[in-house]
Amino acid sequence: MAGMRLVFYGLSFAIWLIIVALPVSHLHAISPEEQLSDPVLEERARMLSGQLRCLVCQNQSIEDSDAELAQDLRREVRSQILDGKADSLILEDLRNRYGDYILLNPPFSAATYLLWGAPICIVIFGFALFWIYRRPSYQSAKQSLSEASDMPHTNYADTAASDSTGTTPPAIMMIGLVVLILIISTTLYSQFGSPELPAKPLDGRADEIANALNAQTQEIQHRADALKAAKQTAEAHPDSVDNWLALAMAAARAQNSDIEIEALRTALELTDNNISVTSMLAEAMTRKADGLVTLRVRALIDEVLSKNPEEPRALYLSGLAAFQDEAYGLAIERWQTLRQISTADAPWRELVDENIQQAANAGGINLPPPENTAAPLLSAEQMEAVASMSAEEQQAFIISMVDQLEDRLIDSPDDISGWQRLVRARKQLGDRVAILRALEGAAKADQNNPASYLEILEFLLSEQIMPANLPQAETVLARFRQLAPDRLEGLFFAGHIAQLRGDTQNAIAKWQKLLSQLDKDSPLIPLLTSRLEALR
Amino acid sequence: MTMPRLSTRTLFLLPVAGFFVLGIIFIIAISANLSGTSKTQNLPSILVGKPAPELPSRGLDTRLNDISDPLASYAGTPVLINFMASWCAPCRAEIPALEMLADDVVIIAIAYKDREEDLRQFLSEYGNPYRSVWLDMDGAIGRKWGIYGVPESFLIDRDGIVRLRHAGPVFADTIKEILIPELEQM
Repeated sequence: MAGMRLVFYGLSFAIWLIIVALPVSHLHAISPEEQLSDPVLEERARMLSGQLRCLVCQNQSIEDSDAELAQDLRREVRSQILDGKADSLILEDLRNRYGDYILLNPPFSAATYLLWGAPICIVIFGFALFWIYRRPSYQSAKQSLSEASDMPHTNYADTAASDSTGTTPPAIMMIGLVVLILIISTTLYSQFGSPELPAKPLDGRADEIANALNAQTQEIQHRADALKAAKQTAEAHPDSVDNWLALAMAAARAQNSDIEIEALRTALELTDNNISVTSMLAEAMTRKADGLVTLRVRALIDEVLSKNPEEPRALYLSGLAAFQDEAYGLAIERWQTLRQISTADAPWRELVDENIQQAANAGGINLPPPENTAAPLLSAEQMEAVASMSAEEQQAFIISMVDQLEDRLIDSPDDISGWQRLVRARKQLGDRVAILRALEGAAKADQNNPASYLEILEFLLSEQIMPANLPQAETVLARFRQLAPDRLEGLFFAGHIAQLRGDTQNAIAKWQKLLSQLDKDSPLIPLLTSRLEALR
Repeated sequence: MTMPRLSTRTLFLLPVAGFFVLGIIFIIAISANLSGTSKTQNLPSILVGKPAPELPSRGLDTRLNDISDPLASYAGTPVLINFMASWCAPCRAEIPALEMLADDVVIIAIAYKDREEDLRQFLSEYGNPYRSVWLDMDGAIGRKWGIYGVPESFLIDRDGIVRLRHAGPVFADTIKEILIPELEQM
């Protein structure tokens, strides 16, 4: 068996040598003007050319050769294809002029018996060699010579058994390996084995690339045509909003932001500042500014959200604006609102999730566990029902659903995730009193979690705070500092509340203390410094 | 029945040695090809023993255009069809030998991918051993004859059958060793 193994090593080495010694670089010589316009015929021409030897360079197909004769023959093959000749007739015609030598795959004839037969002979020879080495007589002879054993080896099974206990793999494994190699190589050869083999991957890719480029050019042309048609229609009927919106859409597809914005502005005038059109305009302007939410766009978003806090485009853009301001918490809030109002199959959902994650990473914010955010407020049936309603009906329906949720939570106040869902739902609806109620409920359910108190504080102080809310804010802050005395947010909000109360000295003291405890590269430092300067 | 035991080293070296033997055979074959002792272009043409393929119908001398078949005028005599071009250097080199041969056999030139004015210039400069010169402007006729390039010559017998193909220029020894013996058999 050791001998067998060495034969295998030797064979592997020889095969490696053959692989290393074979040159495999092939390039296509065909120039674009030679190609046939019909891709099917061109494919046939390439297939045929790949089978024909370039008689000048001799070891290349005419497909790969730059020689003049190869070029001529490629043209000849193509012209014969265009004449409607069958592949076999074309090959036969060339063979009648240049002989078998032009075929890279020589036919099986008296002169080529050796060429075709040699590989089979080698395989048979290999099997014979293998069989001789595996023969019991050879094995037992080897055994008795190599082992200082006086145990007689009476049969082959005995030998095999003693073999398999040794360091060499069992015979069955070796046989299996040989059979496997033979099957794999036969399969490979029958599938891919031909003289133009090295050129094949490139061949395939070349067609693929050409097709892709072709499709792309056609698509661009198609979009440009559609834009042209839409523009003509819109200009022919300037009073039709639909036509202007269709033009905006066609322009967006053709990536022409200028026409898109112009069309949307016209549509906006015609619809008397419809909020959907306004948010479409905001989106188009953002796209034109390479994704930057400009001040003019922000004004548009605010206008839309003041009329409808659930306009998806405006919500998305306002989240983006907050993200660009590095107000990651706000960005996440806006996007989570968008996510909540989106149906499960909304196309932007994944994008929104990705953005939320990005904002969370950028702001170092811990997102609530996914099952909480994923739990839909409404069931699929309810969503469907909502979709078929008018805007007012939808709003009323959602409010009634949220009220139902709140009633249920009052009965079971320990449901933390339920309260968190209620908070999000209330935030969507925008009723501040109801939001605060939900936040308080969430904090009570999760009494020992400082984060829930922090959320109340953030909410209370996020926008224009009512003086009436200050005592509540102080109570919440006290609870937060009790739960998490080391967290710097406590100091920040203490300063903030002091400032709102008009206690400037206290505010300066709190913020200076905070400033001294912050890391040197904290993004809060410039904000605090500027606030402190303003207070002084 | 017992096989002589081969040493482990022999077993390892057997396939490697086999590879090197094959390698040496390849190298010998390739160098034979490169040195010209075994030229693939001198493989016997498949046309040998078959009637001569189509020839051009347009001659350098416009009077030739009335003749439908260049071989028609020479029926019953052997003809050497010589594919040549004014842009080809070996074609200049073979002119003196062809002039010698012109006494023994009719030589017809097929100008492969050539221009008429260049051809006239070439013939006046290097000599004209040809009975007639015909034009194969796009090389289509050359491909019908299965030529690899120019110069290439075909010997046609009295019955219009191709008897011999010679790739490359015709020199004095080509005439002596190949063409004359073949002509004598006709």
